[in-house]
Amino acid sequence: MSERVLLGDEVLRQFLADELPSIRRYALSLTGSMDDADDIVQSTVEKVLISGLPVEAPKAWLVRVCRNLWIDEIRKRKVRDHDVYSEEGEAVSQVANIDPKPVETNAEESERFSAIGHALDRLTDEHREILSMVVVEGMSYAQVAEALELPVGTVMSRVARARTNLRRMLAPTE
Amino acid sequence: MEDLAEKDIELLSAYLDGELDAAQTKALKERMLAEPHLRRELEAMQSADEMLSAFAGQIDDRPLPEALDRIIGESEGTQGGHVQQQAYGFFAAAAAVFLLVGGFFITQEQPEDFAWLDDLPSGKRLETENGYVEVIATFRQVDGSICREVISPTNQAVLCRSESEVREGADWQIMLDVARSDVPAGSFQPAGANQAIDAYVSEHIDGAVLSAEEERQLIENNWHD
Repeated sequence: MSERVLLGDEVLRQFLADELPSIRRYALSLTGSMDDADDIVQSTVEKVLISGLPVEAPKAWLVRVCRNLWIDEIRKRKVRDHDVYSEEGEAVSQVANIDPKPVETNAEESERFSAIGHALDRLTDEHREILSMVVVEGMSYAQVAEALELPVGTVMSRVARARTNLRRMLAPTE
Repeated sequence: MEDLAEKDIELLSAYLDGELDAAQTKALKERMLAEPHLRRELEAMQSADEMLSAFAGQIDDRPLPEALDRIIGESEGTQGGHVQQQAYGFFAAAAAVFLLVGGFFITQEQPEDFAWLDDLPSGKRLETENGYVEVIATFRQVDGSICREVISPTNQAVLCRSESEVREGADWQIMLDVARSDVPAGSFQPAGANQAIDAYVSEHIDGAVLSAEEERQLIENNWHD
């Protein structure tokens, strides 16, 4: 059996503490809900504390665990009917409609975040997760390719389409 | 919005992510000067990115849920920890990196807990609540410090002390600590089987591993020559 090198216990905890802000932002961009984001992050942390993280690319693994838990969660949720932005030639998956619950801020900011949350909610799961990885988590295309087990070329084109879709939904009058 | 070719959208998107090489970047920048609609699309993409980042960043102001705080808070410092970022990405074929951690071999939490290293000869096993610890070898590093390679059922580590500091048990610093995740409890794994430990020792050792007599003298002299 080949030896798998994992982060030691204390190193793992410190790594998780350091990455917590980033993974929470990532989870919020996936779920659109503060409560759901922290639930996903807690499940991620609990899972990783049991299974460990490899010393090579621990961040990519952490993101993958979080993302997979999100996928599991949306599959369990009841899907509501709503308009889903579709793109010719691409399969459109059902999006679990998780209502965005922005933090209480001033009215203008609250309205802006609501609009963003709504736009995110209308993206396909594929587009939402890939934008979250690249824009929110700052992962490279190579890292995303590894995490999602996709060719880099597919990552590049999918990011571009996701970005275009989000941009159109946020500025539909252009 | 002016419809752009799919390829141009991909180029702009990849440019935004820093994924174009130097030649591609230069070519795109020249095109954006000549084709303002490309520049406008890039700015629109950037604006959408910023909105997405701002949306996700809302959670920064939200306190950690108690359960999560409790889980993470068991490590030293919950935000902006002191562990060097480079430690997460090492283990290239022959590279070894200093990895300072707050705990070691599960049983230890404070530096003074390493007092047992002062007196334990190589090859002798010390029973602990989590199994055992055993010194595999003692050696000098090229910087003059004395190091000991230690093993437990779950970990293999290298700890070193500086010769200039004499407080008993207080100066053993963990240089490398590797989980031995695939080794069943109680089973034998050849010392040095771990590539990272081997790489570290190979890179830092000055001469050969100390003999039993050399080690005994050091122990008797409280690790002074």
